[in-house]
Amino acid sequence: MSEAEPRIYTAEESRLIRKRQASRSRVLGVILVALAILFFAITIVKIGVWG
Amino acid sequence: MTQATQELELPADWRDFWALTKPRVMSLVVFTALCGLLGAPTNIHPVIGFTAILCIALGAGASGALNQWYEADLDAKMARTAKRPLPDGRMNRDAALQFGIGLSAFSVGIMGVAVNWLAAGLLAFSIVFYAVVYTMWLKPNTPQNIVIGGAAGAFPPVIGWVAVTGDITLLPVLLFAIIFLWTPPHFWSLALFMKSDYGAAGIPMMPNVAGQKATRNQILAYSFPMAAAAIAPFAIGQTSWLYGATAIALNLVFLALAFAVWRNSANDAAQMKPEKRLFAFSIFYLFLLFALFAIDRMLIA
Repeated sequence: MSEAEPRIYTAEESRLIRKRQASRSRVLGVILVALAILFFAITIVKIGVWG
Repeated sequence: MTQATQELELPADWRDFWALTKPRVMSLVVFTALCGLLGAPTNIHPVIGFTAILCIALGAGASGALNQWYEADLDAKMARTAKRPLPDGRMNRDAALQFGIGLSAFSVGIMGVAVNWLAAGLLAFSIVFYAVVYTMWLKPNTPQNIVIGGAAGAFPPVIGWVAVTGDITLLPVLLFAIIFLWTPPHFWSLALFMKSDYGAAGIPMMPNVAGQKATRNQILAYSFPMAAAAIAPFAIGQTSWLYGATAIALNLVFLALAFAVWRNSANDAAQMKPEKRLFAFSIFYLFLLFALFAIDRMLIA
């Protein structure tokens, strides 16, 4: 059985894929920053600084 | 297969992951959990309270994702669900499974570390109950699927309460009972006018298995204990007249609508106005009842 030939993307397809990846990365970045802030706040509360 | 015939597989959009979490169901879960949290007799630090609600929301989202991962083939057969990311081919099935499991572990872990481990245990149990007991076992096998499976949706206010107090008392059990007993009339009224959709997917919903008359009888039968559970927080002196009077009024309307469903004998979905009315009202009912519960308890405090 021969292996399937690797898909060669057209310029338009590559642009679409990159656009989708960039959109996901931006959302993931926002989520990570929000979580970092939340974990910082939880830590401050747990160690009793904010009562 | 030649390159020309290969379809372009785009990476799933973030909106598809969002859709996988069933945001509309999540909003009801967040709301009831928030009411349980606000109705608890002690206070919680706002940051920890926010974290608890976030974890409950993420846990609900994880359950939704695992449900859609398992039911992708069934969803493709129903008009109501055919446009979801998996049946519509917008997402890889493995990605949905990994997303669901990852979100489950994350939500339970953060709940345990930041809030308390009893709340985390209940959250883990509710995710497993929905994704495994309900989705994989009950739903495809028994018309009682949503009766027992309704327990999964009844956990959020209990988890919200436990996040604050760290223990389970009678009042959160009553909140659980309200949603548990509300689920059959709510879903069966939907199943009555969506009968053909469920039938096409081979899901043994009550109208398809026991018939419409038996379903209408059961809708009315469940409405009475539901009303009793809804009025109980007032009857045992845990709320004021504000909640008590509203609960009585809401339940009278609910019973009247359930009675109209019981009297209806239509087989055609177009003539099922009482069922559609009950379904729509049941959502409003739950929102108002829980909002009043939280407001009443905060006023008492």
